[in-house]
Amino acid sequence: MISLSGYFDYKEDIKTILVIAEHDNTCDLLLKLCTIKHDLKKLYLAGNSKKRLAKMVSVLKRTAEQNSSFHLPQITLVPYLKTIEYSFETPVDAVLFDSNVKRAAILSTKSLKPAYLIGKLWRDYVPCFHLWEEFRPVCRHIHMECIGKANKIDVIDWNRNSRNEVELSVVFPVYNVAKYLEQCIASVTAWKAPYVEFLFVNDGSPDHSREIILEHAKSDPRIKLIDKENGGCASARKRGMEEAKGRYIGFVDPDDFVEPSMFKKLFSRALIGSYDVCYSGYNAFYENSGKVERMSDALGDEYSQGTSDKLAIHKLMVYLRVAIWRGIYRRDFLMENQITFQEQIRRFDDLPFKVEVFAKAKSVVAVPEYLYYYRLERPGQDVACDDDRLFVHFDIFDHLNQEIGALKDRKLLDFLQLSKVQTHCFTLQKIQKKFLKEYCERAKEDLRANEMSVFRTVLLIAKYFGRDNLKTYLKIMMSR
Amino acid sequence: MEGNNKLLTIIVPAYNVEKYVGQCLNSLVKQTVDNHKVIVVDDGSKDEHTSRICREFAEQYPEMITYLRQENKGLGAARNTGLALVDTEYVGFLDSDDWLTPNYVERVTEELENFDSEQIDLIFTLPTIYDAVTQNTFDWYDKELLNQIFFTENRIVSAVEDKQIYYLEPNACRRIYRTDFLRTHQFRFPEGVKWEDIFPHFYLAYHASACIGVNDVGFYYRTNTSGQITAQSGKGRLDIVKVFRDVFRFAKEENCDWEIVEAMINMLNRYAKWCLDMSDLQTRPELVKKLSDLYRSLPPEMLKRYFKTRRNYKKERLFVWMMQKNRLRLLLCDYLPSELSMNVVNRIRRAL
Repeated sequence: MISLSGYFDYKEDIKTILVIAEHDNTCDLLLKLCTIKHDLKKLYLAGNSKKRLAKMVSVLKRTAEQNSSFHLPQITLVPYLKTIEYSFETPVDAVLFDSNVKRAAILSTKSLKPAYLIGKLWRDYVPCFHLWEEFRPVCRHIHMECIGKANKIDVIDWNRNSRNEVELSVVFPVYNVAKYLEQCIASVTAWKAPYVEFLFVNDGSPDHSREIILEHAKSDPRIKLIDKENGGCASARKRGMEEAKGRYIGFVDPDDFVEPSMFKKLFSRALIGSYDVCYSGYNAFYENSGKVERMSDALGDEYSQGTSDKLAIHKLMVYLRVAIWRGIYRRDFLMENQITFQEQIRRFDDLPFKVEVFAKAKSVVAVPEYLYYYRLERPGQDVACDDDRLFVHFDIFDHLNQEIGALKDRKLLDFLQLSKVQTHCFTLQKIQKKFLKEYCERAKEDLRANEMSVFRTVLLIAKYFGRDNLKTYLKIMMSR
Repeated sequence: MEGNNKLLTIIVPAYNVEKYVGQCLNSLVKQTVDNHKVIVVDDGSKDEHTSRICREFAEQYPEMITYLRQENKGLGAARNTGLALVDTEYVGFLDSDDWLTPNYVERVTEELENFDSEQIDLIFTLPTIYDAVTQNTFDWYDKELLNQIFFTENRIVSAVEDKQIYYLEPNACRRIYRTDFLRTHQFRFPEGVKWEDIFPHFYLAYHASACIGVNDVGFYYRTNTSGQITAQSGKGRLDIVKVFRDVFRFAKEENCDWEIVEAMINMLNRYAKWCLDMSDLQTRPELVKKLSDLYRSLPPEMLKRYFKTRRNYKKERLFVWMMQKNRLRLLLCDYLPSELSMNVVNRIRRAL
């Protein structure tokens, strides 16, 4: 049964409730409702069997006679699925249903324009996101308990925000990407939901990217253009984040493209359970050969069913590849924890973002599909650099030492250390020989920060990584 | 005396809780019956709105709510300030980020009327845990125990008859107290320390001669609120040692029964581990040292006797043993008690 305990407390604007009674077990729900909701004026019962409804009414009446604290409102029976034709004496404030109710029955109550939609359903049988989309324009509050795999319950707890109608903002930092922009915009805007906004932040792009965006904005009002002076990718993302109005924020690099369903899948999964972060897998797209390669990482059951386990979330600090654009983030979560982008860090700004997000997120969910296409082998790409630009890592970790260090949590510092080991080991493989010595020296210093002893680091690497990283780590520490 | 026609006073200490205090006070003024008064003690709030919200409620419901403000002295002191002003037969406490079920006062009144002939000292209610992340609600940790104590044989129990009462959660807000009972024992909450609930838990249960339970109402306990990770992991953790020193001193002075001492050790072990798990890096070495001193000051035969009847409490025993040893305790500065098990040690060894 739906756990109503506490939900109706102090909700005085609910005076009339319509309960969809398709199944005998709804009787328990009615009994509970009448026990906890003492100010209920009127109760409509909608069901497909008159006999069953009559039985429920008699049970309610009998209980009311025996129990003085039981509140019996005025009850009216409504023919099943005829709710559109039926004329209601009083407007219905809330529609209530329990699991085992069919989708058509719930949808038929949409014309009543209830302020509340409250219920419980099995995710595999009733598409709850679809219900939410249908009822979003009419309801003020939607509270649905969705039962998923292994009976895990994720709650959609949505309240309409009177000021803004945007649920999801997608931010695009635009700089010299005219060649790829068409493909990107087409793939992203293919999902036609009205409650999305696409924010293109033009970071002083000298090519005609701006014109392309304006052209598309004419036909699609969801596309918005923000102009700013050139300041780097981080500053563009930051600006987009400040302008974003949505409940969730996503980021897309405009030289990449996505599956048309990507943001629908991410957003619907995040909404069911109000997760702080929702991410999917991605594909590497090799521009020259046209080859597509699936990049697999933490998409297993532990994450795809949603988790609020601290350790599992911290692990993502190192187990998830650095890729900000693969996920969406709850805006309030980012704001409350003051997670943003550092303008002074000119590249790899998604590394500190990732570490901070998974150090502070309270709940995370994964969509186990590969929905984003990441373009590789593009000339001038950051990932390809192998010179002293890589020293930016030390600025990044200086910043993280401060941010994560302030939380004074041993576990977090452990994972920060692992993240450092991972990054430095990876860099040492690709950096040019002439910078190797200096990088090693600075890495050594960096790995000693936060009072991390060699002993503890070795144990950590042994527990979470393999031998290769261990060897490289020891090499760094023994270099002079 | 004015106000004696009301049954219950609920004391709400408020300190920097502008986000939550509205919901808390709302749940008090919208109770299903009007049989209670409220004293809001503003403990020198420094945020923008807490004082204003409290004052507005007091102006709107002058019959029910008394508002007073004092310099910041801490939760225990704020509760004591409120306690001194109580003029009703019973008194309860509510933290300002939590809230009550709407029929709380109604149910408590009913239960007390049922036991009209008896003088009830303590009433235990059943709080509900609200997880702010998943929006799920859970039953309070000790629901089973509460039912076992109060709803199997006698409805009225004293801690002399049933020592299980000492194993209930020490939270002060889940109880309602008879005001005269508190005054006869000159009770005050410990001031200037965190963990102000633990000592009163033992002290009051020891003296109470009649307790009852109510298992369908209580307050909502908010957990997992975002944006305050660091809020509680600092120096405040150290107070736990001071609090338990008082508890064991009390046991010695009153020459308490073994079962009570057993419950005290049990709670010490639970809280010590939990505090270590939650303490931050800078506090932990000091906390370990102080806890270790406390463990070593306890008579060794006491701990021996405790574990004699608890053969399968292996982790707990490992923890206490490490605490008593001078060098081993240093390990606890670096590793959390919850990480320490043979399993983990073996896994690391294998990986190497």
